[in-house]
Amino acid sequence: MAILVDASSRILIQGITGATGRSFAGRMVENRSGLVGGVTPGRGGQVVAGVPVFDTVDEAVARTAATHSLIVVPPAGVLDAVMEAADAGIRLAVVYTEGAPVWDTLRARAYAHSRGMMLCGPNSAGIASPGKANLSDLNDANLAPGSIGIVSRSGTLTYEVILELRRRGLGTSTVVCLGGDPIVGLHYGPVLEGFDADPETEAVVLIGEIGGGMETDAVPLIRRMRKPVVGYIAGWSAPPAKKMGHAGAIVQDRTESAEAKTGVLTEAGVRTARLLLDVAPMVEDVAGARRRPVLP
Amino acid sequence: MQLYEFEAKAMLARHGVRVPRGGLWPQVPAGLRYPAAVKAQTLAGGRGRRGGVRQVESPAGVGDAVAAVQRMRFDGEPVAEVLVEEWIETEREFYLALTIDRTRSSPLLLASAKGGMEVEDAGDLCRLPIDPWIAPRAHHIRRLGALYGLEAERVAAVVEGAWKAFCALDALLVEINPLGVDRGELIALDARIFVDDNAGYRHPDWPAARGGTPFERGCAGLGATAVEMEDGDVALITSGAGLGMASLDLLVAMGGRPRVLVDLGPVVFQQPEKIAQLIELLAALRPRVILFNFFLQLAACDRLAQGLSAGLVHLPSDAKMVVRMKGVRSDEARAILAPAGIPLYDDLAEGFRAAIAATGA
Repeated sequence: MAILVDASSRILIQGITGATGRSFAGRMVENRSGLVGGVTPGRGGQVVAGVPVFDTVDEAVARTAATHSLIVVPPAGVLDAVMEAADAGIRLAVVYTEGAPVWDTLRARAYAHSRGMMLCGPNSAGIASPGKANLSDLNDANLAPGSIGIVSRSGTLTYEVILELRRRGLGTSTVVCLGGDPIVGLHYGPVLEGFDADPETEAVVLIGEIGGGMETDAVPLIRRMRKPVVGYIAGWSAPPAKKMGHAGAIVQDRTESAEAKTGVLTEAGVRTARLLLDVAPMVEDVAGARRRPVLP
Repeated sequence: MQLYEFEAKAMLARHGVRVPRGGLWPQVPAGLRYPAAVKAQTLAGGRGRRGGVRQVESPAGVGDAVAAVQRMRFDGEPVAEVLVEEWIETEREFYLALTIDRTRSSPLLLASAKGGMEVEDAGDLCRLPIDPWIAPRAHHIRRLGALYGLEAERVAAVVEGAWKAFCALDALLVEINPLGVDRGELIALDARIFVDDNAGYRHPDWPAARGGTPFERGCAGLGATAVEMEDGDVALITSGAGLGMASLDLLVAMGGRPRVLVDLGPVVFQQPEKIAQLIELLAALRPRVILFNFFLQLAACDRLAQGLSAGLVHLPSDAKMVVRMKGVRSDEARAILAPAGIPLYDDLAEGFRAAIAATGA
């Protein structure tokens, strides 16, 4: 079943005619990943990777019944692109773009929420349900369908975890990259809930890092989960970030360290790894006999 | 990026917040009231405790006070400017800040009636989430009025002005501490503002990036983010903050001592020749080992390897390069680096072990 994106997802790329957009489009079509069209203002009528390009998201949705959008526009265009997608009734937008101003993200998030659109990112490596849909920059060759759900703040770190899981015959139901920016739309909660309710997911990997309180915020929900969770927080050895005034000390307190977050997760019943390479062995321990065969 | 006090006050004044009258030395305003404050402009905290703020009774004393302050260093950095402004004694000192609550992903207004030092420990700290599309409302202003023991109208101008500055500047923090009461009016006696570097493209008047070591600034110019650490001998270069930190954790767990962590941004992958420039910068840090760790999903490994190969000319003779690179065309990448005697590892653990071994060699 997977969560958030699956074989029924009808996907647009906003910014499809740029280099990044074309690259994603080519791969998605090659791997039959549900791409139905793209949007670049002024380029309506063109074709990229065999799918039609529209001037507006409204028109694209009307003509293709698109439900999802992958946003790869430049940073200055992210807020407008998110708002346009929300106005057009898109259900879930993934913002791949890195470098969007924080204030634009704050506004994008609030706007999307008010219109009922899920917003993943920005600076998100994407969401992929192997074998069903890939709205991420993960190479399809590196993904294998399976029973492990992954939710992470980091894209590149997640590549390694997926690789290590594959080596142990473990595939992925869905991988969700929340994005590396300090402010992002989707947080851990809805993803963890989705995994807990997903018949295809038997265990969950939660990858976090120092800074902010997203992982700690998810603890009450984690306690209610039935499925096992393996967690890793990166940044045990990272030098302390410069605090921003007294407000920085008030808002950013001791709970943001790798050690503190690992502590609260452990207390909540998460099996916590101290190092990246310890994650897959731990998942192997908790994963039952319901392993799927790994694609060659 | 952090603004200096004088910049922060100028921004706040522009948006209707009252600040003490003053100017940067030597442009002291005519008719300035005395006593005056002579204040070191530095990004370091705790300047008051360290003699960076002096009170001067008359114009005659200003020159000496300025000269003394100009000689000071805070956290190793010289004083950028000296601000001379009217010294204002206030009956009350409050705290007011606008910041961003990461966990709630929302702007946050913080206030306390006990401004000055150690606000974190003030028992009356008020936290109000504010909608990013809508300014603080009347009920927020009333709350602050009650907290400060002032009429809401008096509080409104400061809160509205601070909020306008917060938005207009793409600020991550606007902090007024202390916020004083001078003859019935609120006045920002000191201010700190941090702005979002990602918004630089829409603020052409901002100064170039500030802070950081020369190496860190050099990396920023190439489209990479770097953090220097003390007493290490391994330069670790990877892509993505999360993988960077996880790699650092792994290196330290294996007994390695990191000297610097560099996170390559997308620009470097689009222009691999920048890697050669990065190696040139790294050479100045004199690491024993330069360890690259990449797992490329889409970009071709051989293009990146060509960039590495071009950078070898900058590699100090006593430094070793170790490369872990996995992804499309990694065999071709291995072939590019082989003639230089640089092995390319596919496996993460193996590559890191090789790097640790190279430090001892």
